[in-house]
Amino acid sequence: MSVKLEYQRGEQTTKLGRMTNIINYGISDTLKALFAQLKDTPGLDGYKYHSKDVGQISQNIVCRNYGSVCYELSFLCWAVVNHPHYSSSALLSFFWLEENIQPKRFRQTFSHPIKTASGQICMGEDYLQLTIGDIEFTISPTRVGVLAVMLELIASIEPAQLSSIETLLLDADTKAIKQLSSNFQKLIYSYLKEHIPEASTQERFRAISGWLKQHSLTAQKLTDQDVLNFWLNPPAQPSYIKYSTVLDDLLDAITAIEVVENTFNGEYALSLGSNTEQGEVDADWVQTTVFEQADNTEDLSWLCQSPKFLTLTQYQPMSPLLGHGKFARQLPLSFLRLSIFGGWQSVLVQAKRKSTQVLADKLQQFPSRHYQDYVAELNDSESQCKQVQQVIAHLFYSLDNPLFIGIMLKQMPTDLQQTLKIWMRSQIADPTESEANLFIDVQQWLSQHPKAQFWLTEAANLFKNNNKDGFKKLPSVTKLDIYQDGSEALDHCQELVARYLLVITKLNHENTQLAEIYSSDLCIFSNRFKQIYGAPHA
Amino acid sequence: MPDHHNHDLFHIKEQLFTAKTLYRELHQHEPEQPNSAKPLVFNDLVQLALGNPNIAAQQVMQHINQSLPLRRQYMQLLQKLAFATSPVQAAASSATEISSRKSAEFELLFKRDKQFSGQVYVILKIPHSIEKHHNQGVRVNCCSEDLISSIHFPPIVDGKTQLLMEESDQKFIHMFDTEFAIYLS
Repeated sequence: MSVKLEYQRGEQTTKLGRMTNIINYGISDTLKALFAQLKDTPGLDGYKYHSKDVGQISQNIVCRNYGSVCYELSFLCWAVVNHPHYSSSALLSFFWLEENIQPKRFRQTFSHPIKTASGQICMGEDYLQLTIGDIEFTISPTRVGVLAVMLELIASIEPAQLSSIETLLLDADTKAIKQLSSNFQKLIYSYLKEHIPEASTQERFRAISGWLKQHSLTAQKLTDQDVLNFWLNPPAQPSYIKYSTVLDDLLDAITAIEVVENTFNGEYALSLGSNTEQGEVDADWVQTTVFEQADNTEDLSWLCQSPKFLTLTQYQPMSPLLGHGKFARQLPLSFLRLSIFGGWQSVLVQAKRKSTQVLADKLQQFPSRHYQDYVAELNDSESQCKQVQQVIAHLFYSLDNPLFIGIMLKQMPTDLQQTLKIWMRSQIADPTESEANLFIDVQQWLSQHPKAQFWLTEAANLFKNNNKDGFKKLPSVTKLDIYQDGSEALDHCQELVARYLLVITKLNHENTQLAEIYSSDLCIFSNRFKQIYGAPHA
Repeated sequence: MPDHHNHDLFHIKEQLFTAKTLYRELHQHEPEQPNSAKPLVFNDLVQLALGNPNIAAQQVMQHINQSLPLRRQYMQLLQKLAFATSPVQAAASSATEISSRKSAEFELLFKRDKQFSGQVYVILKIPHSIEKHHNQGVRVNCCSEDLISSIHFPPIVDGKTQLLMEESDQKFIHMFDTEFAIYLS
């Protein structure tokens, strides 16, 4: 049975006929909103969960790779439930009222060794060590944030779980822990069954891979024209209407094909599989391959949370480039089209939801933004990334943290960088120079160079004028990790955007090409939109 | 190459595609999503019961009142977390309205505004208030079988705080209705 992509969404279903359908989501709105709420829900101070941790759990969920997280969480729950500090409602107290989910608080809570009826709990240098019978298990304090998101998800699906966990684990042995882990997995499995129908994505993959084969296209061969051709003449089933879905699906499919062919070239896939009869490989391998090894699945939206390195307006233009990595440079026009005409299509979709008249009016108009506007937005985002890194350098410098040198070296004007690097090399070569001294020497060197002083003053001023969350005052030294992560992520964004903009500059070398392509694309997209949304019975 | 090998590879590719597509869709930004459609997570109930001022109280309360299981959970949390409570009271007469509510920890009473009829000053006295009440104010939850209403009072100064309300406001009526239990957070 073929499953159509266009899902029915509440009252906004498509009475208007097949061609006007636009939604092709495999995931329920409830699950999407639940994850959005996990990122938004408040804690004792700011957001309760870090977006990165929510992102991590969502990766586990979409890869159906949540077995080991459930197992780890079950051990953590055992440690909490059997902690003598809590006489009742241990989980509620630990995870919600006290929020012991940051490494530092977690360490404090377990700072004294605990001996319980069924085992021992002891905080080591790097891990919390649990000994239950002859089983030993360790939990890293840096994992607790992620595990807390998982427990929140479980408690939100079925709140009664909290008291059953407590009953099951109090003075219990590892058999009960394993039982709990299995209960968690069953609960999530049956919840996902309702909220992630995979038939839809499978059909999409079949359609795209068939099309790519038919046109003998590979990741290396794919061009902007191919993407446009697909959108103008998509396969009959499932119905591809949205340009953004076409681009995402094509690139996701072609990446998946490329990765598998490179990995399994000439080998039997069977050697890797844990469930080979159905051609399924280890879920852990899927997750690592898709989210950790690939250079094109970058979700850095946490940069807009807390600390707020970027606003959503600054981040969003970069988001599709981050999501598709190297393809952004291979298919520069497709991303211009995505921003301008994909954006225009969203306007049409919203107009259609309002009324046929509003839609008809919109169809007569043109997009309010041109290709040059997208280029300008990216330029803004790029310079923002640079500025915020300068601010981060200021934070590290003010807190006397040696990591300042690394951040600064990337951001200072090139000639100054060169001079400093040469001087530093000679310092490092000196066997009497220690790391701590080097930092002090660098500070002295900076104070003697007016240009460096100017840069530092500029950084201090940028910090003073930055009123976003996390930049209002100097953070505490214990919170610098996230600023370092931020600096690295911003550096990555900046580089990716710069490389993309370079391709666009080459393309637009006479300064007229972009405008010409836009005029031609306007005609192509307008016609297709009228065909999709403007038919008399639409 | 054997067919079943190609078949396996196809499925692996499909799995990678599915994972990435689902992740993308799960985090897709949907501005048109109305706030009321957002489901709650368990933490939202806890934060509301704790009186955290950063919670979208009205929106969360609306959800709670639309669902019996949520109402039950929220009540359980209030029972565990409330600073003070005043249970449902046996009515002294056939009328369920009273002019004040007292417990060991607080007193809630109202005075009519002499100049503007229909307006009342609701006064909340907490002689031994906690630090949170001085910084964040106090949340008063009024709970009946079928309905929970919640109202935020300004920070406590000199053991009391007050709020000017319309006499016809349902939230005011609930506070002095014996069929509603009161939980302070």
